[in-house]
Amino acid sequence: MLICLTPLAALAQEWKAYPYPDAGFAIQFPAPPTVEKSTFRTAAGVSLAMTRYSVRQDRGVYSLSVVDFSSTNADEKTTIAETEKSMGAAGKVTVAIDARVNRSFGRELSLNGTDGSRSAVAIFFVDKHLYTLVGEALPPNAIEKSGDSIRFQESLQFIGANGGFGGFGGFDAGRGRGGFNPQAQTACAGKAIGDAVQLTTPDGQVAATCTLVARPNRPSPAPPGP
Amino acid sequence: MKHLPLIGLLSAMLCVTTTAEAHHSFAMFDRSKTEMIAGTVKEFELINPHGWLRLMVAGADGVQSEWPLELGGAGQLQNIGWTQNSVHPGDKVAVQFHPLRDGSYGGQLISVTLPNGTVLGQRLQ
Repeated sequence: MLICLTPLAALAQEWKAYPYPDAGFAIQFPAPPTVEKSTFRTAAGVSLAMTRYSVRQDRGVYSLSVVDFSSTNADEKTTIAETEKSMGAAGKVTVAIDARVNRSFGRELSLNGTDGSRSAVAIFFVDKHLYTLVGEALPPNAIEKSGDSIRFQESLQFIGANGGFGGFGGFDAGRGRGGFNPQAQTACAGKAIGDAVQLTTPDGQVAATCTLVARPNRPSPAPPGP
Repeated sequence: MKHLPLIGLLSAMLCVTTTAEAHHSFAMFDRSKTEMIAGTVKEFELINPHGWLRLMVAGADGVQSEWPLELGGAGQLQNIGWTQNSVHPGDKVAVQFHPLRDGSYGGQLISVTLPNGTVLGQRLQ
């Protein structure tokens, strides 16, 4: 089995991965994000807890809002459609397309704002949580910074029991090549390539080696049969 | 010669793996189009979930613009020969890529031609 590690942060001069396992995602920002808690009002008038992670830097604004719909009966399709409609009202939609992150399907938009801004938007509904990502390049000449908006959009990963693949929430479910693994990142933080670490799996401790990818020295045991 | 079918099979498996590993759908890239640009490397990051190559590209007016180009994951790229030293800031390179659907500067890298003529792709060559 291969466990793919998260980016070695030191290799990136600016952009760095920020994992939020409790919120079920990891994403890259060009600087440490500000985390703000507020409420989100649904189309039905229900107020829900929302957490917004954002960075404003160098004519770019990068934000991801996570709204907890777990207390509602909201379904994925309707929630994404309503959010897309709401986001689309903020400008001219130049691209609207189905998209996938890990095993989750959602929508991605490109928006040209009336103020000359350009935004890359991603909308996903995972584990009863609405994720709305906006990478906005500000005017003037927003097109010059719009590539970073896409970079931000493309760095979103879902982690945890259902959203990701290869994380320890889905360690066994994701047998085979994995994706983001916050434990592996933590274990190798501050260590050199080639250093040995121990990872805890649902089946016990696994020896691993820090590199750009960590390869366990033995495969994870198969789960017990029925 | 008798090993050729096995080599072919392994190569095919690696290519399939490269696709299967992708953590997202590349929806924002227009994969029906291929474009080429030349520029100077500003930064190269061999990281997960995707590597990035940043080029400074001169426009028709001579103004330099930054073009981020997305690559595969670090593990995928290393499997086909990329290293941290494959590309360096300041290198003059030419790239083939799938452009962004909305016309923003950037895209999905297909291959990069290095100053010495070496071509690095995202698949086994």
